[in-house]
Amino acid sequence: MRLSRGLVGFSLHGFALLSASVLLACSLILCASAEAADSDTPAATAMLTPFADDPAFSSHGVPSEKAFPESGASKAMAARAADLPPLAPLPVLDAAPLDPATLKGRVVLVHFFATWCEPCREELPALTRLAADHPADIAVVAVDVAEVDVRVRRFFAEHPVPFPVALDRDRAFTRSWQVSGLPSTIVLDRALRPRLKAVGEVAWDAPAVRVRLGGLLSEPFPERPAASVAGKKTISGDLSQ
Amino acid sequence: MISRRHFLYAGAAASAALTLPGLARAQSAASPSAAAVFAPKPGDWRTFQVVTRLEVKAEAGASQAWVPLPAFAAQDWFKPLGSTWTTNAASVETVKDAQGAEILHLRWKAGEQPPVVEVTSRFSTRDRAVDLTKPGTVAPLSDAERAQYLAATDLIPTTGIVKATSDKITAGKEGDLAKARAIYEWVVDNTFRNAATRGCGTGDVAAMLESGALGGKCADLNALYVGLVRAAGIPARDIYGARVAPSKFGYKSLGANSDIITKAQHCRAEVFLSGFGWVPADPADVRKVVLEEPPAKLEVNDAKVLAARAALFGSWEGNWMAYNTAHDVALPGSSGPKVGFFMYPEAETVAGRLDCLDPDTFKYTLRSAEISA
Repeated sequence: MRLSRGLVGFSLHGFALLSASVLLACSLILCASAEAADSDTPAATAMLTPFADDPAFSSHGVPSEKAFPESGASKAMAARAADLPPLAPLPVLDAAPLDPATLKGRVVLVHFFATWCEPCREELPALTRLAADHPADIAVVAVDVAEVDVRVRRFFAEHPVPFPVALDRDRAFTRSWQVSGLPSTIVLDRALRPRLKAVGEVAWDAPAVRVRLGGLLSEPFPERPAASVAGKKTISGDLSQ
Repeated sequence: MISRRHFLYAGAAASAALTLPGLARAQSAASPSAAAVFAPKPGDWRTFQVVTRLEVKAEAGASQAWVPLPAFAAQDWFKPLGSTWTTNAASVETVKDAQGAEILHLRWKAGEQPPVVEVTSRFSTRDRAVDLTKPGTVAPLSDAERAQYLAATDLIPTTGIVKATSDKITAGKEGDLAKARAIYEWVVDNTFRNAATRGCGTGDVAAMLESGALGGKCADLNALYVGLVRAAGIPARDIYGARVAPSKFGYKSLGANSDIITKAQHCRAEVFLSGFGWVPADPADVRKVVLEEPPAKLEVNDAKVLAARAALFGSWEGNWMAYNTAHDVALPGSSGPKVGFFMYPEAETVAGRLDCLDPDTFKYTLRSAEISA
């Protein structure tokens, strides 16, 4: 645990970016291995699977990820990402709306949940640990689905979390992301493209899960000034657009 | 977690045997001497009065509220007798939504403290039972009604995992009656009542099936029943309401055991079967008996559970008020989201929509009284 926390403060530029990312990925795995020995992670939980394996995705007539085995950052996923709406317009519980610029460069977990959903409540502690352990490299955006603000506020007053809680009051955002079950998580890579998904409760402390996230972090990601991204919009399907 | 998604057919044969029409007296396998009776039958009408009082917690600014009125009507078991109200609201109107929900909409100006309304609703009701061994001549639903009661709602999709689950349950079953009964037995066997669920639950059927967490309360379990039945191509509906009186069969868990019924909301289900018409079904109440009937946490083969299980497909007790069957209700005058169903009072202040599941803060009370027998 100490190792991973020491690494997240690295400044990531050029070659150092890739090196640090690989180290971080390793640290995630090491961290997970150490935690797994004494954790009470449920034996059976939802798995992170490639986002493009989503049947809805295939039904759009877009080639599945299997056509692009060399990289998850495929044209197919970029095309699919273009269908997803931006995160920014969602109101955030007792905070300013999300600024996508603060997310880019980090692996982002868009986590759909509701306070009435028991597996959601059970999942929150592990998600909180993940976010708290790697604040510079992993961002969690929780999306509360169709609950009144006052109810969500009361819940998080009793169960504080270190990440923003966006409010999808009418389910429109959730529906537009084709999420039908709670909890569900869609993992975006550092360019904010959807790469992994899980329907159900994920054991975020589990080694296999940390390996998947570490893999995304180890991918090269050229750091660019936010202004040039906004001007050129060269990444198709960028969720921050 | 995976185990939660398994189809649990264990006990299905036993339960099927116990759902023979009219059999509502059961003996426990564990305790053969113990017998229980739960046998609603149409009899005398009873008339009730329910007083709903809201005192909206609005510290500043204008506010508005919406109160459900018992407008559902069924000639053989429920007759609404109208509602009256007293209030300091600046405006009051009754609005009927497209699905028949009757809504009392009130607006208060800023400075009106506290915003208050007291609504008195009266209705008559009685037990109902359908003899599923004797089909008769029943007028079919109109095309519009059939479409309404087969349609997906925001929270009850009829495709995807709901359709796949329904298909598995009804595989090999011939006819709508057998399918509807099989789904009833499946819901009883595979769900559980979760005491921690707030209110009556949310009724997010797809979320329940996707997560495999099949726990909840009536708005969850009976919505699951309705969704699975609709996915099988059979019209079905939830009816949202509240318990108003104790069960005369001695089931503490199936009645309102106080005149204060603020938290006694309950929804039931119906399935439309040709030859029988609307048939009552309440698998959620079977799970309620399992969890709550004294001494509590009963075995599924307890006599009380068996009797309730046998009766609650085809009959139910007339100790309950029916508001409406509407889903995805847009509250008139609100810019907020629709409500999945309209069973609780709702209100909005400048701070936003209040939590209808927190009546003590909201705040509201419901009080019931039988005014003739």
